[in-house]
Amino acid sequence: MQFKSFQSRLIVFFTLLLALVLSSTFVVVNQKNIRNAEDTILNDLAITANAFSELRKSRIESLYELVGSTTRDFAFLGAIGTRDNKTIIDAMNNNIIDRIFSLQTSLVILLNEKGDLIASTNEQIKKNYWPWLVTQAQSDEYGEADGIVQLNQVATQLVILPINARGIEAWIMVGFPIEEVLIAETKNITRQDVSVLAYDQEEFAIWSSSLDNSFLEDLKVHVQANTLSSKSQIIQLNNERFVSVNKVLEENPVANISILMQGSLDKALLPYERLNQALLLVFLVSLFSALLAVYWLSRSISKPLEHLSQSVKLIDKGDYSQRVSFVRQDEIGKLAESVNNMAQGLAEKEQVRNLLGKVVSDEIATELLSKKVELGGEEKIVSVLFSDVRNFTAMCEGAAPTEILTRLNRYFNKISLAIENHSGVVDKYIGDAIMALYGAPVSYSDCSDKAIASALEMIKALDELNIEFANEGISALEIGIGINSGEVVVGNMGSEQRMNYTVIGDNVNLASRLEGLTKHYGCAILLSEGTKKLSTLYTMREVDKVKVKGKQEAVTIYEPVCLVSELTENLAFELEQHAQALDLYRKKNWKQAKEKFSQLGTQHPDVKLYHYYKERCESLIDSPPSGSWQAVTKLNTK
Amino acid sequence: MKTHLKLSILCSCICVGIVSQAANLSATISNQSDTYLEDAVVYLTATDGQTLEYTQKNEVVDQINKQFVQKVKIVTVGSKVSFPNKDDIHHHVYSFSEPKNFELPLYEGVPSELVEFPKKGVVSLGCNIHDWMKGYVVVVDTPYYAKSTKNGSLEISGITPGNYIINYWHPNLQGAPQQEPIQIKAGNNSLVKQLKTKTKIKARRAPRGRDRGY
Ligand SMILES: [Cu+2]
Repeated sequence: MQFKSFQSRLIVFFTLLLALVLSSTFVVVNQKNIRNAEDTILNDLAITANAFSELRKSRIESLYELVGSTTRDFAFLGAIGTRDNKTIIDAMNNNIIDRIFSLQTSLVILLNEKGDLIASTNEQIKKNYWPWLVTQAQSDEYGEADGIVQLNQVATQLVILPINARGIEAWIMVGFPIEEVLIAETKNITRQDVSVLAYDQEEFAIWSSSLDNSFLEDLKVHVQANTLSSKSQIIQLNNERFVSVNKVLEENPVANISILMQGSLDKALLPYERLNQALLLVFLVSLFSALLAVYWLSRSISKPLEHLSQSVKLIDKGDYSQRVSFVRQDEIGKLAESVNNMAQGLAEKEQVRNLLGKVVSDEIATELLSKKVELGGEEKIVSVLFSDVRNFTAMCEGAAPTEILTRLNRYFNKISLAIENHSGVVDKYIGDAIMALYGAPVSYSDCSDKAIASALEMIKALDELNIEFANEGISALEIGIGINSGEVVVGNMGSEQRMNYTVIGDNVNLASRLEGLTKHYGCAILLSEGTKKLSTLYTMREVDKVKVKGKQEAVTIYEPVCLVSELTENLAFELEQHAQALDLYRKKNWKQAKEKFSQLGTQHPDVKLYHYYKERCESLIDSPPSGSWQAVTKLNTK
Repeated sequence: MKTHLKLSILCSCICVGIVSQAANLSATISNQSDTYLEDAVVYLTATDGQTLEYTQKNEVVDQINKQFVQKVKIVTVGSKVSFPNKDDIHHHVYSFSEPKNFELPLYEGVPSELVEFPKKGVVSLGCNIHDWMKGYVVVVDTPYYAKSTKNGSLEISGITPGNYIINYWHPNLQGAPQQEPIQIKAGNNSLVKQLKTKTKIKARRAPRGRDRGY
């Protein structure tokens, strides 16, 4: 489930990221498109304005030239020279309006040199309405001027030029309708609508326009709202967006004249609209495929992770045979490989642990595995137990080596069990000998009692084994056990590559020495003074004071008798008697001592120690020692 | 022409010597920028509707090298002018001016008829073949008239002293002559007159070369 949410998080994250990138791209592209469309329109409209201006300029120049040449025409001048109004009007109609047909002149007016009306082809003109045009012409070096005026509700381009010949001083003014001539021509060239906008210092008005009425009405609304004064802007005409541009033509005394041009923004955006749609499609497709890719990617991560996690869980539970089966070259593949290696390692470690448990005891194995295995040790109070088969050679007699090994292993199995039952740890097997530790690696304050209990059980176990051996016709085994307790050094010893968990110290050697003494005293078990001190549960019989090899101090050695709790009156009496006899012996009162040991030996024939002392007393009586005798036995056995 | 000149010299000698009330007027004409005006016309007319006595004459305006020789010609009302063509091509002299509207269709040599100028005023002359040919016939109703030389000076002699109206005209003055009252005393009268001439409108020749500021 955790991975599922990782997957969905990944999908949400990438979707949002992609959507953000795509939508901002879309917005930017869209804005850029609108800007581009606007620029294109502005460019087109600038071309239109230019076309309009050039046409107007060319028309006006043509009028100056053609009308100017007409005014030098003898017949035309003659007609004016008649000073007859009707003749003049006919001449103007004939010579200018009809003959210069291409210029589409709609109006010819003759003014006298002062600018008063003489004659007009348009009857409605009763006087000179545009004296300012005459004034302008008078100040021109060629006597020419032009201007845009409103005539009969339409914009009209007027041109004035002088007649100055042969006794006629006059002005001739001609005009043409801007809509039919300039606007129509401009639209022919640029396919763009043009309107003439006039501002007479009070209000704006459209004088002429090529726009369809539906657009024109809307444009007039904008014009009346006085919102078209700026150079370019976006307006709504007939529910269509237009870029409208205003270009000033002239500022004359009647009005400020400009042309208004509109380019449809919506139409200009059409190709971009298609681009937008294509872009949107591309965006959707890429979003969808990105989602698929992310889904696939996240699954390709979460799926093996899930698989891995299950495997790891099983491994955690101890199933080291688990292996992740997929092969990949990426990080997950490496992880899977690592998990496999880990499982392999764990399996091997477990094997080692099992083997270790067999080679060393469980406690040591745990100790070794739980800690960092390194050389070095610590000082600890432990009980060291040494046991050895006394009559090993006898056991070997007449038996094949494998048979000997089998018998030995049977013996070790029993003995080891007795050791482990009392928290003892088999430190090593040395031939037929065993060295066991109590209180290491795990410390016990009652290590002595544990060792003694263990030793007693060993004897008991050996008795049982000997019954089995007897049934099989095998001679019985005899063992000796020595237990010493005290401070030793515990730890790993050996080389970096190969080390043993073991104990060293004088106290270890003493345990070995004690074992060696058992045969001498005829005791199965011998304890040191140190062991006796730590023990609280067992009643002991003092055996002797001995000076062992390698030790200056004489040590008192003991033999466990029974649990304190199990001490009977008879046994207590016997031990009392023994103590008295030993005391007599030490006070060189060997005769009385001999009596007592002899008595004890008779009552308890199984305790060989009484017999040993009886003999020793006899020997001392026969040949009393010279010099100082300290009742310490010197033993050189190993 | 020669007899007329001799007569006037003789006459002036007599007047200066014998007729004590004879007067003359010398004038210098310039424009507002102190340039002496050639072909400026000055003449005296009577005050208050009186008429002066003058005589009609036959006058000549030649066409030489496609120009009117005597660009400005002063004639009295009722005089007749001949327009002889001294070039080897045709001319077509005409005028559409108010005082005299006439036409001498294409001709060579001396045209058979004289042109009579029965009304006072300025008659502008032209040729239908040669646009640049310009001349003026100033028709006056007075015996006292003269036109300025290159240095702007002119002299009218044999004037009966008294009050007159002095008229100034020049081709560049445009419009009717300027008038002002003047008292002519016996003997020498002189004046300096500045006329406000207008710059003539240039003839349109190369429209492309002009910047009209579109
Ligand atoms: Cu000519």
